[in-house]
Amino acid sequence: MGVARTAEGSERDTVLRVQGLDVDYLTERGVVAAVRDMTFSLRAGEIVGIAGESGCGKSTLAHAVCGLLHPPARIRQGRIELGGQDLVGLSERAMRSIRWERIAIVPQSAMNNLSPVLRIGDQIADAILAHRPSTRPQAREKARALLQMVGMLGHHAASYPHELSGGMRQRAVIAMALALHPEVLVLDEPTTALDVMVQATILGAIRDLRDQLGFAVLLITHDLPLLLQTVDRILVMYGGRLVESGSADGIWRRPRHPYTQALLEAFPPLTGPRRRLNAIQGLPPNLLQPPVGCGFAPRCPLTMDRCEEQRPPWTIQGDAAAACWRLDGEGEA
Amino acid sequence: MRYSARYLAKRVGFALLTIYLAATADFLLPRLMGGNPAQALASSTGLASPATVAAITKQFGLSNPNWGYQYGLYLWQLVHGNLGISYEYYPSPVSTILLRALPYTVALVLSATVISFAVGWTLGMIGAWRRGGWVDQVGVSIAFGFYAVPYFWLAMMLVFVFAFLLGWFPMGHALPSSITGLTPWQWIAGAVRHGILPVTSLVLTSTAGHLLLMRNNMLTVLSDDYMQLARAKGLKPFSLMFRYAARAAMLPSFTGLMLSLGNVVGGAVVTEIVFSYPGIGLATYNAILSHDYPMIQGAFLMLAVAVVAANLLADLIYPLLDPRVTLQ
Ligand SMILES: Nc1ncnc2c1ncn2[C@@H]1O[C@H](COP(=O)(O)OP(=O)(O)OP(=O)(O)O)[C@@H](O)[C@H]1O
Ligand SMILES: [Mg+2]
Repeated sequence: MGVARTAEGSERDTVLRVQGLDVDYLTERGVVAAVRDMTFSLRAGEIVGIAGESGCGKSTLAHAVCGLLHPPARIRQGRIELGGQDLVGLSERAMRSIRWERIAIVPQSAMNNLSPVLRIGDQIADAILAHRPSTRPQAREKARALLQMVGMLGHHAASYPHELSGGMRQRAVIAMALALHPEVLVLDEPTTALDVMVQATILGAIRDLRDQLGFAVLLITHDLPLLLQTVDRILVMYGGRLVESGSADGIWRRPRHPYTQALLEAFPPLTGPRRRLNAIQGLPPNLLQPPVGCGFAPRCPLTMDRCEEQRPPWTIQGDAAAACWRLDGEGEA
Repeated sequence: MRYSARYLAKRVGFALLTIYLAATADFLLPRLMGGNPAQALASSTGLASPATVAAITKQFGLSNPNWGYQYGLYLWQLVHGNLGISYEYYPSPVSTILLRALPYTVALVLSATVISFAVGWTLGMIGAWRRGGWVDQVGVSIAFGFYAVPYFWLAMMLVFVFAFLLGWFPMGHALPSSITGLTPWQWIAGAVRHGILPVTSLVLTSTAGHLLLMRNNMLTVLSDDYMQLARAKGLKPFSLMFRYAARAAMLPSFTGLMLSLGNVVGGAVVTEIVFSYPGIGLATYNAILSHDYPMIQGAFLMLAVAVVAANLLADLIYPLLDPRVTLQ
């Protein structure tokens, strides 16, 4: 799609900009540094993927961006700009009118995120009624149309969540997320619990809808190869930090960070030649005591002396960028 | 309707069977305890002539010593609403005495039940919503303060302070001593004035349980994933709290409410004793003291019927509230 893919998207196109974001969880055992120095932006109509192992802070970032963090989580510093407006520190009331209207989320395990005692159609209608002057019958009608848009049947609006399969519930939440035509759609592991066929159809549906409606997507998953087939741009997170960013193509052809390399090898590609699978050895860093240097160093096959001592600089190379000492000096600044 | 005629028939059939079993137990128990009530009654009234004993024996349906015959007679009378004759208030039928006491008990215990559930649920809901807020702290401490006080003592203190010392409320009974010549409004006002202290005493002790259950359910629901999605939708707090959280959180408490409603006709024995309140509880208590078996049996059977009916009602209403319940 034209608008979506142009690499030189101007400032004007940017719908979401996250800058220097730090998020902590204040726990009894100490401060968990869940997200650190996160910076990225999302242009209108773009699909950006975020990949990383379990516990690297993907969901925390997603919640932060949607203004859904609540204690013990705390934004330590940084900005989250949606259409130029900073969401950090916004009152709950102001946030309420932005949620769903401008940024909607399909949370992790969304299929279990529906109220068990309300009909699907009513749960969608509730979102519409909270933001638009409308009657319930009108909102229900809209809900039926939305369900059809994501490939369900209108009469599914009258179903309760337990009457639908996991894939259908997932679709229902996606339909719900699109109810108010948000500028940004955050999808937190939208297909993790689903089988490969359903995964593919759902991701296909999301792309089609993006083409039709033009919203931007932040697609989170730990399945990097899946992202490669779906998104325009990829951000790789490790231990709460961004370690690499680049186009899907670029990352596939030349992963710059050893962690990205390892992630690519940890999953079987759906297409292409067979490769040996390698689970990543070792454990991610303990975020209660965040590492001084590169968090991946203890697990890295290419580690050098300074990796553990000093944090690697963010090295930009054309379209791509990564934080690794191996790239030091190769950058374009 | 979510349920079929078959489901309905099955539930009703099961309820009737339960009532039948209760009635049978009710028939057997006093007989297994032995003794001849006619003899006892006749001697207590000083009319122990053999002729009197024989007459009373016949009246109680005991003239034929065959239990099968007695059982048939008992059931036959039961389906005609005849619960037998009270020993203590001979020759008044048990049903008359129970029906006289019933309205008082229902008024007393029903209002106490409804109020304590309403207060408990509301405080539990708000307390969980604003966990640690002032409603939560004050509500929980007051409710548990009263819960910790022995009920008997609490009731006595209420009578002592508000009836005896301050004289704001009558010391006991359900109605003013002379009710002739009262307008309906005066009659109602009198009944309410007599009811306030006993109802308050019941509410004070029973609210804590409902509060705690609701609060815990609500806390569980609030940490459920679907509350987060509901919040992400930008719903107003009111809608979040009632439509999404409380709606699901009240389900486990609902069965408790229905069972309490069934227990209403059992009366509140201690309350009725302390407040000399002429309800079923007091009647049952007196019947036990005077070995008035037909009365005890009658009260027991009425309670059994009410509890079974409340259960049946719960079974029929619950599926309408919780769509996950499958009906077989
Ligand atoms: N409520 C919480 N209290 C304390 N720590 C938390 C809390 N939620 C998350 N964390 C910690 O924050 C870090 C990031 O968690 P997050 O859920 O964002 O990871 P994730 O990348 O989404 O993982 P997954 O792929 O398993 O969903 C983890 O180390 C986690 O242990
Ligand atoms: Mg997650």
